[in-house]
Amino acid sequence: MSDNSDNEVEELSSAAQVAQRFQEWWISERNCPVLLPYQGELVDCLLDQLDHMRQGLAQLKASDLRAGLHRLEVERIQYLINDYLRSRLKKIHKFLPQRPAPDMNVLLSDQERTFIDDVVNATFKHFHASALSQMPTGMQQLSLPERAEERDHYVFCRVKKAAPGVMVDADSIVDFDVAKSSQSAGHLLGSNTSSQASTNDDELRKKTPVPVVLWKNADVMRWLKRCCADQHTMYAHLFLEHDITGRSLVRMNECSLEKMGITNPDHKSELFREILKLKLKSDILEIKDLERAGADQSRPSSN
Amino acid sequence: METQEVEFIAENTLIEIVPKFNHAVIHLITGDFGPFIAGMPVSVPLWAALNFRQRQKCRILPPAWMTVEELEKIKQEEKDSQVFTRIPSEHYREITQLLLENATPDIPRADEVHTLVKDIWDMRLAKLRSSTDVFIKSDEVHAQVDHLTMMELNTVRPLLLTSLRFVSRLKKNPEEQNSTINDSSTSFSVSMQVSDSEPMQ
Repeated sequence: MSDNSDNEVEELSSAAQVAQRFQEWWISERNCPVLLPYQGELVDCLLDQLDHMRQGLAQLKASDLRAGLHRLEVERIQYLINDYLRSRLKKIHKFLPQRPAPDMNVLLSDQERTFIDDVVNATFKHFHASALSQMPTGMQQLSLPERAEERDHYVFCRVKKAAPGVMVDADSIVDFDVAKSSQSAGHLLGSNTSSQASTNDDELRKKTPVPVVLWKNADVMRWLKRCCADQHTMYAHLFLEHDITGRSLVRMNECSLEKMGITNPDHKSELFREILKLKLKSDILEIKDLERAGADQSRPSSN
Repeated sequence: METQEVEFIAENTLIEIVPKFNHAVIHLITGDFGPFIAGMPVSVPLWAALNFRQRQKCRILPPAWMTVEELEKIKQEEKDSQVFTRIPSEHYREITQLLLENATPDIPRADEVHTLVKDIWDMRLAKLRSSTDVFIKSDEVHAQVDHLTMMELNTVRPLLLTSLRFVSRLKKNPEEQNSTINDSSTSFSVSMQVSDSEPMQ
């Protein structure tokens, strides 16, 4: 797979490329929990091709070797298009009979917009005919409850090219795998996916956390709460008071902990252990970044 | 996605065949293939290869990795490694399955190949399960998963992603309650701090 999600403007020279790109979009649409932008151009181009091919097929003799092959291919592409449109409709059905949020309009095709209009109008007409027209005039308005769109999703994404500087709202990484090539790594992300930002579900961008040394006091507090909940309840005030940032956190030793006012030896050593762990983690991340930077330099134009 | 759909995608992989007929280049939408000369290997998409094979018009050459020796090597690597190893084909399971179903005679030692691929698959899924377990217990929100094939991701996707969502939703609510409690305890201990520098026990 080549990474061609970005250069949307680039002319697609052959039908094969269109088909390939469309298949990627189909996979993304199938796997992404939210609606992705409609690929009108690709669909139209493929439909044109199919029409053309069907006309050619009509002239071909049934016994011809090519006939079977062409017919099979036409079916395969037709299936892709059908399923693409169907899975979009499925997603659209989630918010019907309400109108989509205004920012979703850009994602829809003309037909989809007409479809939504039809459904919305029909629903209201139905409500009106069956019940609302019998109501007193003041109560003839129908308001459906707001449906909050769920934006919290976990997704798998395939990294098509390195995109440094993209943040994930996680502050830590667990590696399923140590051997990595930053170009082909798959990622499992918990994130608030906004459909516009993430073009291809399977192909969200690579994300890296904020390095520990840049943590502010608030980040430290969050870490403390997550990693050592007991300590957090007892010593949160100390960390707050001393305004411990990430930079000072990784420089801490048992002495400085004691000076801060953590005198209980058990608590002190437990906290110290957690700090060491964090330090180790951030060091590993840094090493990996360096390695990756080195690897990228050595093969600058791959992909 | 459905398993069949992943198989559908796998069918686009190119594979070499030895045709038993002569034909000029065939112009498909997805590319031009051929010319077909009897006895000369040529690469075509897997779906076309299977179609020819079913009509007894070609012999399929199994991909380079689909030999007992290669698969033994992959299996050993997979066994020795703690992490997922790189698999030569993104769709190794599906391709094996399709070829074994439709073109068994073309694959040398087909039974062994089948067992080996199944072994590799089982081993990888076991790894996947255990790392998923670690992942969920570790409270992290991001994991890097290298070298997993589409089919493997597809088997865990529905269960894993939904359950992760529920886990995170369950976590979110108590956290909000906790944070208010913690905040109050913080202010409480700060006031303690003023009078007494001993930590609370």
